[in-house]
Parts: sequence; C-alpha cells; structure tokens
Amino acid sequence: MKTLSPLAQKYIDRFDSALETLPGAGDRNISTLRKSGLEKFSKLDFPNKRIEEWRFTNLASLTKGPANEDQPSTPALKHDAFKADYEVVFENGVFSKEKSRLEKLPEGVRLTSLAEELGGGAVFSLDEDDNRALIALNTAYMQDGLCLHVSENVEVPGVLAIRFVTNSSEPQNIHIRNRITLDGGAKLTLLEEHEGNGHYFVNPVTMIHLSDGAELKHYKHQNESLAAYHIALTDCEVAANASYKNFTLTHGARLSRNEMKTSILGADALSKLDGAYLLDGNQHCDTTSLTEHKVSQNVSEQVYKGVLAGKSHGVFQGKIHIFPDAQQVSGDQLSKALLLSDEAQVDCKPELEIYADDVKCSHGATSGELDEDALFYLQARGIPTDQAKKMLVAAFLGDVLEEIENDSVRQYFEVLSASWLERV
Amino acid sequence: MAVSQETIEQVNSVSEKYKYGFVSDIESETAPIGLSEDIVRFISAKKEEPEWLLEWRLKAYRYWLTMEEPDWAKVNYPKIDYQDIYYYSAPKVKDKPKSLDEVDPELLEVYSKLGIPLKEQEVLAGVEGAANVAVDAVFDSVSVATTFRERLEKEGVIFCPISEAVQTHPELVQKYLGSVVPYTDNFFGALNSAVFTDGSFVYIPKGVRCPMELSTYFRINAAQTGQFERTLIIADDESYVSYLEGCTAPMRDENQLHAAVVELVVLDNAEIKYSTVQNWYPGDENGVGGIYNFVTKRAACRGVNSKVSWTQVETGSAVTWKYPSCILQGDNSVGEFYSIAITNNLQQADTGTKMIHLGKNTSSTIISKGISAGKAQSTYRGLVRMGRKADGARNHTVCDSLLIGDKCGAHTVPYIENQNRSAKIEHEATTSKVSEEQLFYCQQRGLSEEESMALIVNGFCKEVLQKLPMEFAVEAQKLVGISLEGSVG
Repeated sequence: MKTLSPLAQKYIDRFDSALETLPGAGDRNISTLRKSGLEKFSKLDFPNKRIEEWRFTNLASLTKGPANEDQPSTPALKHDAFKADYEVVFENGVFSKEKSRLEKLPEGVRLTSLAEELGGGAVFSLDEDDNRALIALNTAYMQDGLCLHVSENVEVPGVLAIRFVTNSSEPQNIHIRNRITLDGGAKLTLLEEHEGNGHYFVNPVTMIHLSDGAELKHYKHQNESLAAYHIALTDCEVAANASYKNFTLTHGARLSRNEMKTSILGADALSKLDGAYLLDGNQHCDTTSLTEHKVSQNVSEQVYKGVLAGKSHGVFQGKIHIFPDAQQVSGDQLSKALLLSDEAQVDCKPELEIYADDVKCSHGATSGELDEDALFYLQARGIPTDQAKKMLVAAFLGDVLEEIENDSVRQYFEVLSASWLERV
Repeated sequence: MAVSQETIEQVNSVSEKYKYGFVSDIESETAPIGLSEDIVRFISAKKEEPEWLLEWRLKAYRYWLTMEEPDWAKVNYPKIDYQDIYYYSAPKVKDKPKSLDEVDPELLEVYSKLGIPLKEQEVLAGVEGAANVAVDAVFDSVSVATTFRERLEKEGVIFCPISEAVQTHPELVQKYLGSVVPYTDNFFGALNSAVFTDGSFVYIPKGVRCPMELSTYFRINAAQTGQFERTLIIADDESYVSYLEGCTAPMRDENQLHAAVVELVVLDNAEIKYSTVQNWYPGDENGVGGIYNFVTKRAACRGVNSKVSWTQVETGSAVTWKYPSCILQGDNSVGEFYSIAITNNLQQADTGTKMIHLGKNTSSTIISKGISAGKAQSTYRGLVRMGRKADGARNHTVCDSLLIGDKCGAHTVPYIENQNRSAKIEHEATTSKVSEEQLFYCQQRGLSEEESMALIVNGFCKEVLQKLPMEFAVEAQKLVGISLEGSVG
C-alpha cells in the first residue's frame, strides 16, 4: 500500500473523534456520507504533480507539515469594506448570526447555515464518479457554510455579501460547503469574500444549481492571509436560458487554487467565467476551469488576466469540453499574463476537447512584459517611468474589470486593484 | 480563383484507395520472434557493431524493462504484446550489393511501384525542373540502397545507412547518437535505442550547402514486424540541408508497430529543413489493421543562429503519437513546426511539438492544422517553454482544427510555460467546420461536393503545404484528398 502524505494521514487518524463533534453527529445518513467521503479521500490522497490537472501546482508545502513560518500572516490588502445590502458572516468557518445582516432579504429567499441543515436531516450526496480528492475530503469534514435557496421568479435587489473571515493564532483547517439554488427565473447578485490573519488552510466547496432562466452573478474576492492556503472548488449547473456570470479577483493567500466546473445543460444558456489575479512575493495562484457543453445551442466565455511581480507563480488551466451532438455551441477563452519581474513565472494550459462539428471554439493565450513602445510613448510625454508603468498595468486590468456588470462591485474591484498596484 | 491542375489531379485520385497497400513477396531473414537481451545481441551482431554500441543498446534495453508504456496521450489501442513482434527482418541477399546495379531487381520493382526512383538519372515523376533527390531506401529493418553517394561524397556530405556509418564514421556516431534523445527519454525511445536496426545518417560538413535534397523512404513489408529506425543528422557550422522522409506499409489486418527516433544536431549558423509525408497504412474503414506510429523526433539547435524547420503531413497510421521538437540552445536560434494531421475513419492522432527556449533571442513558430473526419480523433498537444535565460525569446502559435462530420473529435492541449518576462508568447487556436456556405459557393460553380470539400480543405492547409519542398507538395496535396475520401455526404 502506498504511504499517504502526513496531512492526509492526520485527517484519517482524527476522523473518528471528529465525527462526534462535526454537525449532524447524531444522524446516521450524515455519518455514512462523511465516512464514504473519507474512504474516497484515503484512496486518493492530496493531489500531487503527477496528476495532470495538478502539474503546475505543488501542495507539498501544505501536506508535508507546517511551513511558511516566516510568511507575513496578514491579508494582502487592507481596504474599506464593500457596502452590501445584505451580509452573511462566517468567522473561522462558523456562521455568525450576530454579525450577519439579513433582515432586508425579500420573501422567497431562504438562507440557513449548513450546520443547521445537517442537524435538521438535509440530504447530501457524494458523486461516486467524482475523483477530486478535495471534494471527498470536504464531504468528510464539512463544518459549515451557506445554504441559499431563491424561489421562482424572485429577483433579489442589490448585492448579497458572504464574508469568510478567519483569525487564527494557531494553524487550522476549515472545510466550508455552500449550496446555492436558484429556481426558475430567479435573480441574484452575490459577492463572496475571503479574508484572514494567521496560518490556516481553507477549503470552500460551492455547489450551485441554476434552473430555467435563472441568473446568478457571482463575484469572488480572495484576500486571504499571505500565509494561508486557499483551495476552492465551485461546481455550477446551468439549465436552459439560465446564465452564470463569475468574476474572481485574487490577490491573497500563499497558495491558492480556484477550480470551477460549469456544466451547461440547456439551450440558450450562458456561462461566463472572468477574473484577474495580482500576485507578488512568492505567492502561487492557480485558476483551473472546466466548461462542459452537454447540449446544443449555448455559449461560454472566459477572460482571465494576471499581473505577476516578485517570485510569484501564476497558473491558468481552462478546458472547454463539447459533448457529442452538442451542436451550435460557441466557446471562447482568453488568458493574458503580464510579468513584471525577472523571477515571476506563468504556466498556461488552455484546452479544447470537441466532439461535435458545428461549433465555434477558440482560445488565445499570451504572456510577456509591458510594451516598451507604449512605455516610451508615455515617458516621452513627461510621465515618470513608475507612474507610466502603473498606468499601463491599470489599462491592462481595466479591460477585464469592465466585464463586471454590477457597477458597485466593479468600482470596488477597481479600487482594490488600484491599491494593490500602489503597493507593488 | 481558378481550379488549379493539382486540385483536379487530386480530385481524380480521390477515388483511389490506399494505393501502397500491396505486399511484395520478397524472401526475408528474420530474428526469432520476441524481445530479450539475446535479440538485442543478435541485432548488434548482425550489424557487426562495435562493443560500445552493444553496451549502449543493452543499457537502453535494461532501462526500458523498468519503464511503463505512457498512457497520457489521447489515443486508445489494445495493449501491445512486445513478445509477439519480430524485431529484425531483412530481405535475403547473398552478398551485400556493391552498387545500385546489384540491388535485387524485385526490391527495385517495389520502389518503382511506390514511385520512388532508385535510379540516379531520374527525377521524381511529374515535376519538371526539379533537382535530383538522393534516396536512402529502408526496407523493413535494413537499408537496401542509397543513391547519389559519389556525387555527395565529392562535396564531403556523408549520406549513408546508420549501420554503415557506425563502421565508417564511428567517431561521429558515438559523439552524437543519443545526445539529443537519450535512451532514458521515453518508453518508445528506449525501445528504439535497444533494437533500432537501420535508418539514415547524414553529416554536412562546415560551410557546405547540400547540393541536392536528401530523402529516406521507409517501407514495412514483412508481417508481424516492427520497424525501429534511427535517423541522425548533423549540420556542422554554416551548412544547410533539406531532408525528406516518406513511408508506406502494406494493408494488413494486424497492427504493426513503428517506433522511430530522429535526432538532429544543428551547429553555428546551420540549418536543417526536415519534411515528412507520413502515409503508413491507416487501417480500413472499420479500424482494422494499420500502423501504430510512435515516434520521437527532436532537434538540438546548439549553435548560434541555427535553425530547424519541421514540416509534416500526417495522413496515415491507425494511431500516431509524435511530437517533433526543438531545443533552442544557441542564441538567436530558430525553430519552426508546420503540421497537417488528417484523420479519417477510426484513425487517432496525438501530435504536436515542443519548443524549449533556452538561448537569448530565440524564436519559434508553430502552425498546426488538424482535420478530423469520420469517427477519427485528432489532438494537438504542444509545449512552449521559455527558460529563465531566454531573454527576448518569441513564440507564435496557431493551431486550427477542422471537423468534417458529427462523429469525430478535435482537441487542443497546449502547455505554455513562461519564466522570462522579456519573452513573448502568443497562442491562438480555433475549431470550426466547413460551412454550408463555403460548400454551396463551390458547388454553385460546378464542382461536385467532394471536389468542393477537397478544395476547401486544401485552402485550409495551404500555409503548411507551401512549406514543403515542391516534389512533396504535389504528393501531399493529393494525399489530403485521398485521406478524406468517403467523408463527404
């Protein structure tokens, strides 16, 4: 038998005692589910670089024991909070009723915590064919998260913010499970924020289901402690006429991975996954997405931009998979990276897997440094080099930030990007 | 645009099936079936090889035993039984022929049937004004004839079977063999290093521009035989050579293995242009038979301003696994990769390139065109890596896929790794189908549906076809048509 990584072994060893304290402890179904999750995880272990999907991201520093002692353990950015209409707060992975502001939520929105749901006998299942170790681990150890249900044709005005705040003096591992369901014609704008201080590993798994004609705008701001590990997985099912628009802004964490899987299940559906990552120091940020077009006549779009300073390492892996007979599908993808230092590195793997002929798919990927000519143009007009560079980077990012449809979120993300740039 | 003569010819030949599928009844001498150290020794002894080469083969064989067959490529085939293959098969000869006149007439007959001239006065059929082409003909495991050797020797160019080069130029072979593709490189490379039987050896001395195109023609004939050829080309400072490679095999119900290794070494200011028209038997429309083509091709651009250009037209083989690569070590070195991969029926092709930029101001261009028809699967898999020291390096990649029919698949898997900020990488890929409008436009002008399809596909491939030497371009254009036969309607 192969030996497991030390961290995986730890998870297995303390599982029995954890079972008694995790939510849903008394419920046989939940225990069985957790056990099957752990069993699967113990077969898989944490992914290593020999696994194709993980060839650019090495989790050894996480799985082989404590590391990053000398890393600053504060968030990448200090900033003013976003003024949301409704707010859900999780502290160290636990729902905080006191800090959340939910009074104004309209009727037709049911919002509970996962711990509550697990205690109340909610049904969860584990996909047998799913070989993602971190989903299996999350199933075994999920402790809390957001359960949100928006009823048919309910349009939630404004922005609902979900804040995950971690303040840990000691290293800890947090497994969050969110479940978001929008019934037919429902509309919601969500801002998911992660922030923290200290050494910790956070593993949020989000399952989203959008029924016919539903619209979800899902914005994510990842500003974890610079010593933290953030490995997030988001699965989204998009039915006919529905649309899922995600924008992820990343500048936190020592090592982060944002893995998204979108399955388009109906005609005239749209999946749009955009984002920007701003990295410095020895940060590592991995964006991995899989877009599955399972039926005909729908669209997916993706634009990602990265700015890399210091010794940072950026990874973009994007796959568009078109199933047999999924005709009249359009899938476009673009990834651009800007390297600001000699030691930064970017790895990119845009992938197309196509089994239908009447489709239009494209991907593009570029990487390089700032355009010398553009820089010279600005300098020739009396703009100091430093400022000229910032202008060019801001313009580079401006392109993708424009994809954000919600004005207040866009402005918020613009301010965040600008203040990151000021610091670098 | 008027329909060109080539298009008409090509459309005419659309009705021909795989025309190289005949079997020649030539008595051959084979090694016992299967693979063991004894077989490696047998091959080495047959070739009267020096001790160092046998040692190298054995090291490769022992290493191979520790390796596992790779499964990462997007191809499916039943497990190969490596003990059920003949590793050595050679046409029986009493004495080694001393000149072309002494070559077995039956063998010459085979090559003339394939349209390959083994007589020195001839030029390739149908092309006027073309320069002579020197040909090395490899039949199963051995080279049977090499033309124009005297003429080349006058210029100092060495062009001979590699088994002969081991005897006559051991210092060159020992210096460069395995220096680009070491036997530890990959599963099929290791296998080849252990059991390679023949192939071509080319050395272009300093400052020489090779006066004619060099070419090797590979033919598999014997049943149940694997072909493991090894090609080594060295272009010394300021030299130039254009090398062509062609291959065919008989139609058989069984799958045959072809695992070749090609190594190119390019020194200061030298250039190698390497063109391949790969037309191994692809199997029938039900996917029965065909060649498994698992090839390792790599060029080391060691010198400053060195250049390698790979051009390939891949139409044959049941399964193709091939990534001609360039290691751009010398400053200002250039790597190019132009590829057309056509798959029809149940063919599978996983092909692409690797461009490893190590030197300053190195540049590479990748143009890949994949065409899938029938139930075929075609994958472009490529790597572009910019090393830390590759200041000012450039890459431009375009890979386009064309799908004909709704049962086939086209996939693109590029890996792009950049460790140098002054390096610029551009990659674009598209996938589409031949539109009804395009077909209608052509048909409206009096072309049949098949003719229209061939015309459009040739247009799609034009960028790559243009890079082929003229003699091959005509052949390749025809091949494009033949390969797509039966895919319309």
